[in-house]
Amino acid sequence: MKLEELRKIREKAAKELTLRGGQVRVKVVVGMGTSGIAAGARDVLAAFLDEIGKRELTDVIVTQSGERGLASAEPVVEVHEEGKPTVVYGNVTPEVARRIVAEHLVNGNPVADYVIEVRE
Amino acid sequence: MIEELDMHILDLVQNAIAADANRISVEIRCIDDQLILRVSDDGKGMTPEVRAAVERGFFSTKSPQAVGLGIPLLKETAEQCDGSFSLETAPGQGTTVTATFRRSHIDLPPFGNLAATILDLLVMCEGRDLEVSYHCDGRDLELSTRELAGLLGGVRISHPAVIKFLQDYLTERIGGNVR
Repeated sequence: MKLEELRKIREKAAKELTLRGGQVRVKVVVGMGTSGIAAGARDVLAAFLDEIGKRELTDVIVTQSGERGLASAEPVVEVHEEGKPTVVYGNVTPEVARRIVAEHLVNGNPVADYVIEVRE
Repeated sequence: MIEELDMHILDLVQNAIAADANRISVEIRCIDDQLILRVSDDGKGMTPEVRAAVERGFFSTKSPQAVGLGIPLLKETAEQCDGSFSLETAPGQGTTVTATFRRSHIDLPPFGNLAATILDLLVMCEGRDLEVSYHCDGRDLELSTRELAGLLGGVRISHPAVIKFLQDYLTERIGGNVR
């Protein structure tokens, strides 16, 4: 494999970006510190990417951060939505990640059982 | 807690990020029976007092919940494996941590999922200048966030298609399972 193949991915991604007018509606941040990864954050991230890809939610971006400082509730996931309070989920599993996509990102109803913090 | 070497690398890079580093370099090199891990940054560095507290353990500025044992555990593991540990730092001068290990030592921890960890580092350090260099057992990798940004234009490293590509690329280059 050659790293230059990324140029093709870039062209395709740039086209998608044009289609949705460059709008990002929701940002999902998965906490990937050492304790988060030990608690399964990698599988959670993979579940988000898979579910968002399947549903073709092109206005959602998924990213990851370091330690979130809530080791007891990891994996921790934050959902940042334009004009709404930030919702923080704790003890997220891949199944919960898929529910967050379906219920929160698509239908606008946070998955209350796993919400550990809401920040204005 | 930290049982695998890749988690130590992740921890050291998170320390660098917490020190507001812009340039971070991660070097993993095997020379004969020796394994060398080195993480350097140009962050704010540490005063002798902070450095002493970090080496004693249970000290961290990362978050109230951080345990502060990353450095002492890495030092202990290196020394236990007939290796060495050094921490070079000064305020405003950045920090360089070097740990060496004898590869054939029975207590040498596994790498864990190194390819997945390198991918995590690249995503986490997007917007900073991270260089990763890996040279072990005839496998070589030199990769930087700068190089990726050049190839990707405005597309983010965390874009699903980019993640997918890098998973395959890193697995091919250094082996192991990615994620």
